[in-house]
Amino acid sequence: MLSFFLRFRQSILLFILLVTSLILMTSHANQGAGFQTLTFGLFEVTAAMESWFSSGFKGIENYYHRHIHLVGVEKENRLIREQVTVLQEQLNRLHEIALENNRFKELLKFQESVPYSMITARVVGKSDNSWSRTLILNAGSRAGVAKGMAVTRPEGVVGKILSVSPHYSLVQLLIDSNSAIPGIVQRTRAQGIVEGKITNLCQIKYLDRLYDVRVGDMVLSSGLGGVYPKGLVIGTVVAVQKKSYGLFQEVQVAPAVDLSRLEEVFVIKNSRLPDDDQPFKSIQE
Amino acid sequence: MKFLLILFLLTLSVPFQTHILSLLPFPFPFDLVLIVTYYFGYFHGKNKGMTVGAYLGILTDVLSGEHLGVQMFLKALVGYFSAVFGMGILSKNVVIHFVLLLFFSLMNGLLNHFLIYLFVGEIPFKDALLGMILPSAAWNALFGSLMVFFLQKRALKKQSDFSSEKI
Repeated sequence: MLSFFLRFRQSILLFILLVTSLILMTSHANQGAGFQTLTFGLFEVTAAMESWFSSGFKGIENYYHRHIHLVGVEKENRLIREQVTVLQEQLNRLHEIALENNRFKELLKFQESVPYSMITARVVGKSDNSWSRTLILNAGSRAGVAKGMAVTRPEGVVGKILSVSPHYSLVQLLIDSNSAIPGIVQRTRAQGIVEGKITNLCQIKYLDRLYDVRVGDMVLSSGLGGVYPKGLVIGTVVAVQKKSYGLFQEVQVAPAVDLSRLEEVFVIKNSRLPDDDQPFKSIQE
Repeated sequence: MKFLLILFLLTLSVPFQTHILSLLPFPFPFDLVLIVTYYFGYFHGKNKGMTVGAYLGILTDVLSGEHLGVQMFLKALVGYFSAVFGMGILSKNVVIHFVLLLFFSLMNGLLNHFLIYLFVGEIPFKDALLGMILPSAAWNALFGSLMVFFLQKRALKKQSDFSSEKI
């Protein structure tokens, strides 16, 4: 028996690994309670590592930009140059604080102007491998973030929460190939589903070829589906293609938010507008 | 101690890919995890190739929010088959590495597309093939073969230094 295991140990290891991954895949599809605990644990550890690496990398990058170019300085100028470096560092820091302050002011203005409650979160990691486009936020279930909540910026929609651990959450960006947002063309009120593409664009699917859609039209969230509140900006139409056959037209949309330079985002806790319940109440009455 | 260091470095390769490689001005980020798995499989055998592949694969799955287990499955297969090829045609030739990496990248991309189709939903095959699978495979093969070639050269130099010291 032992000799059998020793003889076929590599095949057995391959079998175990493949079966484990297949079990994970099917469990992911079923989303059982045990599976949730496992993914929470794994995500908590790996997200912390990603966050740590991200901050460490930023530190190295800052060090490189501020200090490495001073290596060749002559000795007699060292003191003066060090002072310049210190001042420069302070100036950079102040400049960074001022920029951050401006960003926070804009975010606060946005937060006050919208009727839903939101959680502010900082982007601590990202993953843009070929197949998926995601972000890691430093706010998790303890901050009130839950799976399925919409993530936004003052400029428009960012994506939605895919999974949550106590301290971190994973955001599926709207350009992710699995993302789908019910959208509406602002000018003509034509409705469709805005899906992520493999490129950095989105496309509107199931948009009737009879609707008039033009390049430059604004696309908003339609509010259907309950994840994204109505009226959030998704992006702008950049290309429209009507083939000679088929029921639908192909419309490409460029996201309104620059998804490569995100630092702070909002997670919408309650996407329902305060007045949304009024018609239902009046009907009930 | 060496094991922990290697584990730490392997673990770092996943955030390294997302943070540093994405800064480089390439049209497609190459799949460092695939290249590392290939290297371990080709030069260190089936056990290490499969284990490293599965470990890095599941880290990628968790961090990217992909369907859990997909990358683990694919990278374990890449680790196993690169070891099979490594035993069969152990070569120092960079062209061999290029061809093998191209093959494994294509296999990885096509199976990935199939598994996403099974578990998540349809992505247009033509878009995926022309927009991602083929260009990524080309980049992986180009950069991966060069990386593997230099790593191999360095290992051989170390080995020869060690043996000349012994003599």
